[in-house]
Amino acid sequence: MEWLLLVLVVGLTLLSVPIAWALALTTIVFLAVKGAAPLTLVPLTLFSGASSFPLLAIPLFILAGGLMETGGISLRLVNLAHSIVGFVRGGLAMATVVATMIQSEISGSSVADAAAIGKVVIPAMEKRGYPRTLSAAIVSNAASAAILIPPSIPMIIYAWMAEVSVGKMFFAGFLPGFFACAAMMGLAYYYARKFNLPREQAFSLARVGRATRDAFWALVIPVVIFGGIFLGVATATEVAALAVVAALVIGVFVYRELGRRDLVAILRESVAQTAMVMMIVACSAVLGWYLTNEQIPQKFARIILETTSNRYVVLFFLNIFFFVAGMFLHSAAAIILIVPIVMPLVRQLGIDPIHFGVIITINLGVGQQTPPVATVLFTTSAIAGLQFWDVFKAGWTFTVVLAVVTLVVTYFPPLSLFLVDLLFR
Amino acid sequence: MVAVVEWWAMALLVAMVALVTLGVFFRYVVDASLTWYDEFASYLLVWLSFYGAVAATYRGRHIAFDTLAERAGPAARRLFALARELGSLAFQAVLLVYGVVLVRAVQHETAVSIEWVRMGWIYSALPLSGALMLLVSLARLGALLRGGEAGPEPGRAARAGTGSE
Repeated sequence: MEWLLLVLVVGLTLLSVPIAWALALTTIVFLAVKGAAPLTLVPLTLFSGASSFPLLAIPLFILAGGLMETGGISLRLVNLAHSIVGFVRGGLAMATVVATMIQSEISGSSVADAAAIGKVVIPAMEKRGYPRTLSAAIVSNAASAAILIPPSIPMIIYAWMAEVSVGKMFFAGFLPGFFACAAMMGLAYYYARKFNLPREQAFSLARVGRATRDAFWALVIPVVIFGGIFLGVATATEVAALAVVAALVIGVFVYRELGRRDLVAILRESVAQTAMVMMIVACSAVLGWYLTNEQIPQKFARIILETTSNRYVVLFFLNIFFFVAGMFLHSAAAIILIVPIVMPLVRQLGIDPIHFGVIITINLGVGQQTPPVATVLFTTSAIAGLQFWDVFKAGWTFTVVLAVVTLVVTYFPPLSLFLVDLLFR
Repeated sequence: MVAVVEWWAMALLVAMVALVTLGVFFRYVVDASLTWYDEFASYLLVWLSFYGAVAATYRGRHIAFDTLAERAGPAARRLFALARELGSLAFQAVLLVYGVVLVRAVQHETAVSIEWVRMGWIYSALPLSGALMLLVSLARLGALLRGGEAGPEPGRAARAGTGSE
């Protein structure tokens, strides 16, 4: 029976029915056929799946990201990154990774990061002789690596599902995020040597100083975000609202690049993006209810535990499981559907739920790069005007690096937990 | 009509920023928590999500996998579009019909923190947005059956760089 469910979800999705509706519709069909519960359950669960205070952080961080992007921040961040690492061979590729990292400290979405940075750097890289497919691949994979760097929508959703603190999740993501981006830069350097890509300019402290001054306000926002969470002044949601206010003030009064027309466009875009994510969240909750009601989590735990109770082996299986799921599901859907299924097992084996959340976040980042459902890869390819398949072929090595990072994060817990232990204990 | 709903959703987003900021302000500056603030902020998110979904439906922004549809020939493409609209319609119909049932069922319940607010009002966003999306999909299905283009295609916008993950 459960296999039919999967077939129906995938089938509807392949027919190009929006992913959210495919998830809900599958549940509706199963509820109707089995008569397990009245169909009023559908709107009820849609409602409870969307009404959560922690999830408010999603639209707020989307809005803050939109304000920062249009407010001229992304360009300033690229300039800053460029002034720091431009002297290395392939410096523009390095700068791209660094800028994506900083950008992702403002926005919670790798698709948004890839779009914001891609628009600025892909044309610039082409001018400097980078193969266009490689540039797009670097932007795309760096954006998925940077999803570990908070704020991060998948982490917000995970924290909600696993009932852990969003703030702790955010701090747990820092070091793995830096590590992932360093690995990306390493591979970019290899390609820079291979294709003999240019250095940009000699290192100059004065230039770094100028770029830092120019990007100063852009750098203040992450400080506000993490200071607020760390000091316990506010929850992630509240900090997100403060970030919106700060981005608004900086964009309108300091940089003066945000006009009324921009604000309307940003609001309209934020509403659409919120609806896209939240419909997947709400509809996944409906299917998730059904799976839980059918006792899938218990069955799943039993099947795994009959095979092995070694947590390292189990973590390996779970990684494979999430990787395959991430190929076919949007990451929000994957988290909402699968986390409740595997959580009993994770807790039973004594795996730290915060650590597990970091593993899932980067694992699903790999899924954002692997077709058929590869949101970030598709977005970046569209911006670069390329077929996603060509970008994938040019940059699959970066995706392999992401997968290796996932394994390192999995088998080296201190990378995720060191900062959390240090700050919250 | 959709423009009105879109402005309404945008207003809800602005209200959300204002409400959460106000909540922080009250807690730390005035030192008196607003008891109703997190409950109603959560409801605001539901309203924003579902009314926003109406606009997203109209603009073809819901995330969909359309690689197959894009590679298909014109005739097969119409079939994909047909499947897409019918699938959407089926969901929207359930949202509308059972949303109404739900609203009726909870009409005597009240919100936790403010007792004169009926839960029926709050749940009303579900059937209302369901009805609006249903109209959008019906219009598109009509256009499709008359042989025209089926409006903006869902995946296209997501591929243009504005998905969210």
